[in-house]
Amino acid sequence: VDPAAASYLYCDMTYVVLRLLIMRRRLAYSAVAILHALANGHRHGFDIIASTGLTSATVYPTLGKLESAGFVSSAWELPNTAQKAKRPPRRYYELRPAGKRALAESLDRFRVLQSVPRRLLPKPERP
Amino acid sequence: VIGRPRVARRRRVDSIFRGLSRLAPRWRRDDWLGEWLAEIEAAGATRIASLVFGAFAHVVWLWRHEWSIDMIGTDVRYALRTILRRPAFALTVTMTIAVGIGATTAMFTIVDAVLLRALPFPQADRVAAIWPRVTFSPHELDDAQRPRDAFEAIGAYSGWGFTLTGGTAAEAIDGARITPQLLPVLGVQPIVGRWFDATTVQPGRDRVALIGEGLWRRRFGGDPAAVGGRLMIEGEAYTVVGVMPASFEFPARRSEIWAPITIDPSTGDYNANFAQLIGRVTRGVSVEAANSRMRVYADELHRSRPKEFGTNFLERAVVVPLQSQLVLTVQKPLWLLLVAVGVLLIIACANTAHLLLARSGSREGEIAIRAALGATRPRIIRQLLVESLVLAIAGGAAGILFAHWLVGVFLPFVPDLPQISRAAVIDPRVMGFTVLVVLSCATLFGLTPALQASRTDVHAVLGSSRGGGRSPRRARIGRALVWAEVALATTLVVSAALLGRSYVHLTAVDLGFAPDRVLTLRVSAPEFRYREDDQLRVLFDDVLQRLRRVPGVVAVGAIHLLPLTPDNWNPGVRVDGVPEADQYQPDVNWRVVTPDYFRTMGIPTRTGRLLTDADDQRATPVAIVNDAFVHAVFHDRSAVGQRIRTGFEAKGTWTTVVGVVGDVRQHSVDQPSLPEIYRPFAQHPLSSLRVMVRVTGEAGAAGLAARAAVAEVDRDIAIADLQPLAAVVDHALGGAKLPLILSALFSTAAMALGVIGVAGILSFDVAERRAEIGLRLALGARPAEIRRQFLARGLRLGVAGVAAGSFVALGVGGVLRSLLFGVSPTDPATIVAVSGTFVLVIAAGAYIPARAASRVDPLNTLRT
Repeated sequence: VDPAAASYLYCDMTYVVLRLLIMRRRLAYSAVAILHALANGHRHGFDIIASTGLTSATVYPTLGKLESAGFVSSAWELPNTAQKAKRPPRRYYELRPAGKRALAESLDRFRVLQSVPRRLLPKPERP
Repeated sequence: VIGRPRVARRRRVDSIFRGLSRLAPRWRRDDWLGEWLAEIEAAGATRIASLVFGAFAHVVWLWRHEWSIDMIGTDVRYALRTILRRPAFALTVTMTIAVGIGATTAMFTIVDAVLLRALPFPQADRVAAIWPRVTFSPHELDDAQRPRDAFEAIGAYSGWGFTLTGGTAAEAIDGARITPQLLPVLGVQPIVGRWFDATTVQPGRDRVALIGEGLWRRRFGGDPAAVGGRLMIEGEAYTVVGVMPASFEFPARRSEIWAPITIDPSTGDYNANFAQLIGRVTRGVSVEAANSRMRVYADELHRSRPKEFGTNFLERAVVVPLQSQLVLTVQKPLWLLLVAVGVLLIIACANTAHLLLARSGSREGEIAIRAALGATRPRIIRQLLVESLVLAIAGGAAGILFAHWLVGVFLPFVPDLPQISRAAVIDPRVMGFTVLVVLSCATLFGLTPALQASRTDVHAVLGSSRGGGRSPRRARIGRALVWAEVALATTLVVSAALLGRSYVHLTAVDLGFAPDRVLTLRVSAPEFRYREDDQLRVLFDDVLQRLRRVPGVVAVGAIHLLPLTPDNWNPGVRVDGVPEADQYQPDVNWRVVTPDYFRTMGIPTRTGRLLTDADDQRATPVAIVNDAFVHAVFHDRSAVGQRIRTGFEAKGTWTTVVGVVGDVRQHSVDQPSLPEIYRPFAQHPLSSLRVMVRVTGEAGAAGLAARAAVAEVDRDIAIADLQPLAAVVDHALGGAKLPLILSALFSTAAMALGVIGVAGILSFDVAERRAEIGLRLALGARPAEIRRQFLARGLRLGVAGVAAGSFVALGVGGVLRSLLFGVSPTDPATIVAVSGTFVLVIAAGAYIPARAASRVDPLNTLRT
């Protein structure tokens, strides 16, 4: 066994475990609402603000948090598309599988959001 | 169609956001701006104020995120990988820090346990020693209790050796005779049973005892029914009334029996000194205030009863916190050692800083690339600081293990104090201290290299073909660090050398007796069988006779208090025919000895004669005095034939001085001898004696035979403290050993680090100048020249450091003064010797890189 490789592996494992521990925290309403909005096809900042009714001061930091936790991913719109629409390129956010799971786990805590169409959520696992 | 005003408005809004973007972290700036510009576009330039607020909140979040655990975690991961890439370096640094932090933690554990932690009693800060250097008769309690408003309770105690009989063998157990008021003073409740009540001090009701948890488990198997049970102490049945918790170690460690002091109203001699007083200060009254009230009262006592309470008493009538009284002698050495260990830690930090600094040369390329990719200076500094933090934490973890071991090494040198037996462990409190130390170390040794490395000039490094050029600034800082290391180490080594010389002086002190080949044992007669003086005389006569018959025994004598111990019996003395005003006021030491004591101990006779067997109860009362007595009491006039009297003899009985013997150190090695009176045992029998046995062979070997010889006389005789007299001397020197051994340890480590520092900086120098050396060798320079050059560099640094350190040592030597014996804190010989040695050691260390320099292969270096 290469000791250097083993120690790298150890560092990375510790890091992953720590990240998981951090992610295990319960999501706040704003985070769930944003995940919910994303699940419903609202894909960029303004859209999310409009659909959730949250302020931009909440939405952007929360998006950042969700992204660093690995729940959502983001990508810039292609410049061509933006040019055709005559506007600056937008940054689009997308739910990742971990985000979908987190949303499904958190939804029953926020019943107000439960009118979400079922098809967008992963099927609950049967025991 | 977009109108002109709207365009102008958009431009204004854009410029606001462009301005705001400057606040965002640099590497996120473009993303941030793009996102918000798209946002403004989508929002159709409405609600601009709300958007600005949102954008600002986003900036704040980006910064917070930058410093979040998550991101630091990334840094830590990166740091770990960087460190593990060079395991040898990491190991060196970790070990250096571990030595510093380990020693600091261990020393703090001891200081915390002895000095900082409260005594194990509730609200221990209110417990005070009253008149700590005066011993009392129980009757004086009343006198001491007079300023009642200052104290909630005052109790008296006297350390006592009990002999448990009735088992298979007599067992000697330490404990105390106490008054019932001691409970409210100390505030500790028995875990089973009850404390004494006030009636137990009356004769006839006093056969009760409290036992310690340890004894309870040993003798009664931890059975609660032990309360009310019987315990045979010196042949008398005592009723056990309660069990004290194991944490109750009063007045000393391993105290396990507490029995009441009996106050017999029929006797009332103020000079029958034996108890010590402690009190609990009233809530709201400070110990200082209690002290001043006690002073006022002591003045009154002195005025009303000047005979009993002389000026001598006035000086000592003080009230001090019990803790400070207990730690009086160790306080200063411990604080100084903590400072010394702090200096060692700083040296270790400086050493690490200079290692990191030297290594940052080889990391310039990496840092330049990071900077070129957009890492800002604070970001790079943070990354490097996280690296030093990781190193410090690794060092701290190793240090704690090291400290755990060191505490075990230190503890035997710390005197027996009630508060340390359980407290001297590495607990959360000590851990908290260690964490603080680790954090400050990481900053201390990480900041300079980090600041230095973050200055890396991107263009210069990435532009040149070979990274890691030579930075004069870095070299200067490195030299300064090593210089400081050597200077600090010199200070430590000088202090240790002074303590060492002082110790040598102490061991050379003439004790007044010859401790070699003398065995000492405490022999206590069971009082229930030997109540009469005659019985005691016969018993001890028999014991000493039998000991004399043990093969290899040369002489046997006995005294009731061992020299070099704090125990004392000290009455006032009056000389016949001297007016009261001219009498010697201070108390004098008073001892009971058997006739052969002086010969056994090798104490020389000055004038007159020694005691003989004829000086018995039927003969005239006689006494031997020491030189100090003749000097102090008789002002060097002839003492033989003079008549003296102390409070220990019946009123009106005069004792004739028949001889003068040499002084012995009675209480400690470094304190001069006090005036002392020796009275013959036959005229003043006691139930417990310290028997001295001089043997031809090794003292320790005679132990078993001596024990057997005593047991032959009576199985109920308790034998305790069987040890060579040399061990007693060793123990007396123990107080001086603690600072000596620890400072020797610390200064050796400091010296090693200093040498490593000098050698290290030279090695880096050699490595950096390899090409130059190769060229010079190729051009005909002789290897010896190169060697001399590097050696001289190292020596210059060493000499500068040692010189500075010697000056510092001269300056700070004063604080050592009270710990030194027979050597001046600015002793030039010590300083010169230490400096010379240190310079030689540095030269030896510098020789290794210097030799490496001279062996550089010119062909090899020129080719690359």
